[in-house]
Amino acid sequence: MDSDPLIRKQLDAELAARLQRVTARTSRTTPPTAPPTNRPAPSARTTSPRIASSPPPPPPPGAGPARKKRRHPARHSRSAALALSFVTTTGLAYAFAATNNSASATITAPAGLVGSSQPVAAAATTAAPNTTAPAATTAPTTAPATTAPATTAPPATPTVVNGASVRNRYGNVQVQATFAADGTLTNVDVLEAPSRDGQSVQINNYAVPRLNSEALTAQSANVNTISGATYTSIGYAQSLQSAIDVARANGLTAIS
Amino acid sequence: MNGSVASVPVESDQGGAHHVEYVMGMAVSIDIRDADPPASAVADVVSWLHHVDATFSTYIDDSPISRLGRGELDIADASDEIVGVLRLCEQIRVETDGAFDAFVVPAPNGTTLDPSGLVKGWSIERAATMLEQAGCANFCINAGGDIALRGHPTQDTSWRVGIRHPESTHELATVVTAFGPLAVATSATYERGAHIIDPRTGQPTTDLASATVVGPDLTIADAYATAMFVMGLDGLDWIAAHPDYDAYMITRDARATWTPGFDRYRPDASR
Repeated sequence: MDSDPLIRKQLDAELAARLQRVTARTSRTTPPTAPPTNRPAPSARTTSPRIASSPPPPPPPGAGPARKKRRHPARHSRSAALALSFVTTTGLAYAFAATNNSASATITAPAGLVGSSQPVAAAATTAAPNTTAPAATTAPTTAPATTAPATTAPPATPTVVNGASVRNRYGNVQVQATFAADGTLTNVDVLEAPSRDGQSVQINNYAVPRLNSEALTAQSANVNTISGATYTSIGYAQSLQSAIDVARANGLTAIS
Repeated sequence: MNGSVASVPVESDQGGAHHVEYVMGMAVSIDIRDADPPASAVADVVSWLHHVDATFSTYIDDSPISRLGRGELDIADASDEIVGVLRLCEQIRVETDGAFDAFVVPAPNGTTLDPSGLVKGWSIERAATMLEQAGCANFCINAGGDIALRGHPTQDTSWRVGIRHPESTHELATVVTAFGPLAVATSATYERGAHIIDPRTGQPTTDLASATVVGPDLTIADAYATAMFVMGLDGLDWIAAHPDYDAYMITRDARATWTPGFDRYRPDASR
């Protein structure tokens, strides 16, 4: 991109000039302000109606003060506990991605999703669990998604995997995940948590499968990885993801 | 990050290798699906990522990038690596008409020099190249939602990348399905109160909950995703002029809007 030495020289001169402004600005404290720009009407795009989401939506993961960036040091152990409870849900998102393969073979887009300007994700909610037929049993109305089954047989006994010990600004977090013989995440214990020694957050065997089934929307089946997921995650979710990754890598929850 | 290293090497009984490294303030997942990846491949990538963190972190006061921002390090004395990254930032600033700008938005270290919006993608794209040079052909590196894909996860199957639903941590808005090589980058403010500053105005952006960019190169995709988030829906018109890159945006009122080319990554989506 910068092979032309003349252009490169010009670029470097501009770089130096911009850096000078940075260092000059750093010694001041006034943030830059300017009026917002006007936005002309868009054209080259496809728009869906409002994404079908859980009504009512679950509590925003960032509702607590603990969600601020790490430049703001933690002051209250309560904040840490609050964050931990929020990221419990976040962490489970990874579990869906990693564990739903065995149930996803028949999942296709529900009839309501047909059409280019339809909702892109029909999803259940934690507040109102889906008690009708789950997505997996919806009669296929379109060509099914790629549905390669798991290639390895899961082990016959539950497997316990320790996640990585992850440090965040509150302290270290390490979780221990238990997977059932079919690869389903059945339990998560917090081995190490900031600010509260010995605290253990239990997710019971009922809650996890329920959440799992809710996550089995037309769009969430059988993914290898998630883009955007870790923006809300701190130690708990990261440690849980590492445990799930370990389990998956060992064939417990083979995907695709 | 001060000693915040969590490292999970895995011996997979399927062949391949899987490693999760906590670095650059996030969990980086390195998932290699080749039968017998060289033992040094992951280790080299991991040390590369820690090198990038030490060099470019705006959370580390004595990192070269922090010193550069405070004027303690002259650009003439900076490494080729740093100069190269800043050149890339400048090129993308010009290209995006200032929607991406590494030189004006306040950084955690108190300066306004912050190439983080490009460095993450750049470092992961480099890591992918390192794995390829080590002989790996099928892998997925996911660094906090910025993803480099190569090959396929298993024979005859494509990678499936979930794009998070902004209102719910356990739902996906859509799924990107593709063989590698492909890059997927998402820029988002899922947390209440979190924001991304528009470098053109100094004000927080308000339109979007997330902007995902898909294309061949993660360095570009990462920076474009940041720019797309700042541009809002107008960014779709902008990126539609780049045939190799596509975007999928979710607004704060939870509507999805995407470039026509994005549908090529959703063969199983109803449309």
